[in-house]
Amino acid sequence: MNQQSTASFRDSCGYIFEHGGEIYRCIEPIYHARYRQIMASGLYETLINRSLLIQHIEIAPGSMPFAPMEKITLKPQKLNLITYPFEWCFCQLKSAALQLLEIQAIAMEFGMTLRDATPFNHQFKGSRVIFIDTLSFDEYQEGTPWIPYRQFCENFLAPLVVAKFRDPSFLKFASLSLQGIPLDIAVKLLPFEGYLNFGILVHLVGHAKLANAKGGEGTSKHRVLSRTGLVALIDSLRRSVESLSMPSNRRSTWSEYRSESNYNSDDILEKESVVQTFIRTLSPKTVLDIGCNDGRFSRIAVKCGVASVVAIDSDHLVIDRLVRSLIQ
Amino acid sequence: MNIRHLLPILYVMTFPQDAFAYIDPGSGSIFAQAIIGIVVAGLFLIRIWWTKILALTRSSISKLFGEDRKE
Repeated sequence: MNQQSTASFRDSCGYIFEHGGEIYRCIEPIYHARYRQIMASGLYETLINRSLLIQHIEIAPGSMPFAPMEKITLKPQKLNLITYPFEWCFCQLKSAALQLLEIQAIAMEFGMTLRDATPFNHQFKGSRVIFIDTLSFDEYQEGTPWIPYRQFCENFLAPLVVAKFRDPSFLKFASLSLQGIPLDIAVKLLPFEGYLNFGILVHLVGHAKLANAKGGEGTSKHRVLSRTGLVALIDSLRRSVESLSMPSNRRSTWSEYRSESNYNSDDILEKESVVQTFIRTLSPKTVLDIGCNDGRFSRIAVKCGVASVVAIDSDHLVIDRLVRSLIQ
Repeated sequence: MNIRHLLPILYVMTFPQDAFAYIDPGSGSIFAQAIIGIVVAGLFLIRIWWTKILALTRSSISKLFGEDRKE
């Protein structure tokens, strides 16, 4: 028997559980055909080869007490650190958004599509984003709309737009609204210059106005979007997300700390030497750099061979700068 | 049976089977997607054709110049 994780309740196709300190994913019979399609079509292999999806191994049914015969049990690669989207900086959310659109484009080549678009389906391995929801795929049927379109716009596009045009601190507020920023609220927060961006104009402003004009009469699954339309929609969303970046002239409390701090060059070298001595003496498996700023001391920990270095900072701009430097 | 009686059945048959989606896309958003889909698909096709036309023009020009040089 296995105990379903209390956080894994949304998806009726499967759930996560923990056993002996390892993470497992149980797939319900309702999703077995889709799972086989993901594996047999070449989609899984392609996503793994491009380092886009978390790897897993299948546990033989019945071989373990927690792997019943009637279900498929997977053992995904375990990540050292779990983070949440409201803890991410701008470029982390942006890279997750671009990854999701890349995965959607690839899935369509294999006759599949994503059935949801939440940033909670992404994690980070080091500075590299990785998709963790192997059960997020459904069979693509020509003519059907992209079901998570609104979810993508509310969870990725709207927070990025508000962070860009108003303040990056808005990303922290995502913890108050796990479903993202409603489109009409995002439009109200949009300054005039935001209307000059075609992607924002179409996918946020137009989307909100048209959706409100139609009203909510329940879910409709009419044939509304051709394959070319869907490819174009995903391409347009990708261009819109790519066009968003944080203004380079923005300053924050700690953004100029290195250039304006009281340390002179000798002091900083001495501090580096002290940190290096600590790490070499203690040989820790994990180093947590609290208030890392540009990650200068985290890099020393990495150079000293520490397996896991976690650098955190409450200042959005400095952490965004650090992540960007690691991605490049 | 009149063909008109079959039309609603045929219409319903064109609906996709139930997906394993657990999010509500919202009918308003699907309506928006239908309109936006047409706009972006139009621009997408124009961009593809424009790229092809540019490539064709460039290759024609380079051929012309190439021939001029030979002469």
